[in-house]
Amino acid sequence: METLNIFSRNIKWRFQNPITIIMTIIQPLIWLLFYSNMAADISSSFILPGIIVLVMFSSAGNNGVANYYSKQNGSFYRIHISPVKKSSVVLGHVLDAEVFSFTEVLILILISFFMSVRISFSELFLMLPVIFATVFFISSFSYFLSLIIPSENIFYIFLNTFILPLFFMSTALFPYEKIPVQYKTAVNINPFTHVINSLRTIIMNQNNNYSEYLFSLMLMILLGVIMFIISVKKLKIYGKNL
Amino acid sequence: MNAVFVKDLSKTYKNGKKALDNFSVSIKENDIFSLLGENGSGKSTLINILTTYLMPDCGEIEILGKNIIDYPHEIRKIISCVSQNVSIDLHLSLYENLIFQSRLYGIEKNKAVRKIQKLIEIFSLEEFTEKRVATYSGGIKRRLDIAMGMISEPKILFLDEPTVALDTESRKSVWQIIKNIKNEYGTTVFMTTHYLEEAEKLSDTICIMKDGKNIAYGTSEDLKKYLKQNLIKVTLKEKENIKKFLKIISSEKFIKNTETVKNTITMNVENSSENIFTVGNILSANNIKYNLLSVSEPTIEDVYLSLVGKGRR
Repeated sequence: METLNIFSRNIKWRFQNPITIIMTIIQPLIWLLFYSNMAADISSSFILPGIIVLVMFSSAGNNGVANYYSKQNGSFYRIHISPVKKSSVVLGHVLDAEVFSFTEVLILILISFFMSVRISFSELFLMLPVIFATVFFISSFSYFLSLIIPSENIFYIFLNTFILPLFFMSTALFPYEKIPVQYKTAVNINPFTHVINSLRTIIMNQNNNYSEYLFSLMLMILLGVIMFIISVKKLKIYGKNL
Repeated sequence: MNAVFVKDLSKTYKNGKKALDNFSVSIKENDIFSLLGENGSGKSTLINILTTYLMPDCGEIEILGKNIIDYPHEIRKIISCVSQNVSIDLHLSLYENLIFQSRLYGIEKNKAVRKIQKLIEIFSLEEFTEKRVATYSGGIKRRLDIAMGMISEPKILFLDEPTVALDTESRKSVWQIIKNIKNEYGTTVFMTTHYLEEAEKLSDTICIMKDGKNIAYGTSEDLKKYLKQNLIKVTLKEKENIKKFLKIISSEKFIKNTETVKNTITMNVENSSENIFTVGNILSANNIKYNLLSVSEPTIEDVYLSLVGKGRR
């Protein structure tokens, strides 16, 4: 009930401001359209998983931004001193990010249909848990950042500093085999590499790699749960130790 | 039982700023209490601590007999706070804002609807229910903000500068609402304000704060005793003589401080009934014409200025 209350408030704002959906999907969409057309040996099916992760970075990564507005107008404080559980507050925000991200991922999948990418319902069904867990992790992390970074501008600088390196230092644009040896360790450490690989396995019908799928799913669940707990703990003591 | 009991409360921020310095106060149930002080005197820090947002360094705090450190969750159920900035959600309607707030306090829907109808009536918001919240004037937004604070029918309502930036009409309307809250709900109101007139008209008790300390506390009548019989007011005929007069009296030992508003100079003196003759003599000897020379009853503003040391010699 508490979570639903926070969630419905956020989602109402989201759908009254569809510009936020449009703005965050533009950059990944340009990547999808141009990169899959320009790189001769790379298909849209290959590039789509990396673009899905990029769209999750943009949508779920911005989850913490709402906190800066609510701190300015006082609603953050009003909710903070109410008896509502802090876990409900964070979860309400995370679920908003889930709806936002899934909307954007579905738009991407629809557009990629016109680029000859075919994803069956069963494949989509397999993709959902990984996408859900990844958004859960990114949005919890974003919420945590909004509690420790004092201003919105620094928050954006932080996001911009890390999103593209994480994107490039993965298998988003190149197959693992083509990545230079000196970068392979970094690419392997990057958890999003495994998310991209597992989504690619599903989309490209390489149904022989369930271990990669399960590994990425468990990794995202683990990171998501850890980040969610840290965010809730941080929110509990927020303001107390100023 | 006291609604709020604070003893020897201190708070120093990590940047070294001491916001509260052994602050003590107690507020009776169903009182309207006003906290007066300049910017940076510690008013907001005190509200933030009493509403469980900030942790104090040391001191004892009880809200309706419950220790705030041991029972923050229980205390959150019985208090509410309306912050200085209007915190309503502009993307929600009036009704949705109130429903959202009621759910934060776990109020079931039917009960919430009844409470909302009552609040809309008490806060005179009937004609605004169909309009978009974003189009409301500052005064109406503030009324809705306070109504949201009242949806849980708190035992104590904290209002941080509730009439700041409002026009006179809206301010009076908020005053009426604060009185209604006390009468209809029996709620204790803890209010900070810059407006001395507001504190004097609304409050049962007033506390004046300076540098994190309680420097005066009591009813407005109690506080006026601080300066009783010790104010002399003179209204000069010509504005040009103000500087001359202030220069002459600056060497008089019996004048503690002065405050000038337009042509009127208020002097805080040692003994107003005796010193008024000396002031009269000074005016005559220097040929300074005046319209009025009187011993004055202090206002809360005089008490405030005297205590926070704003008066200029």
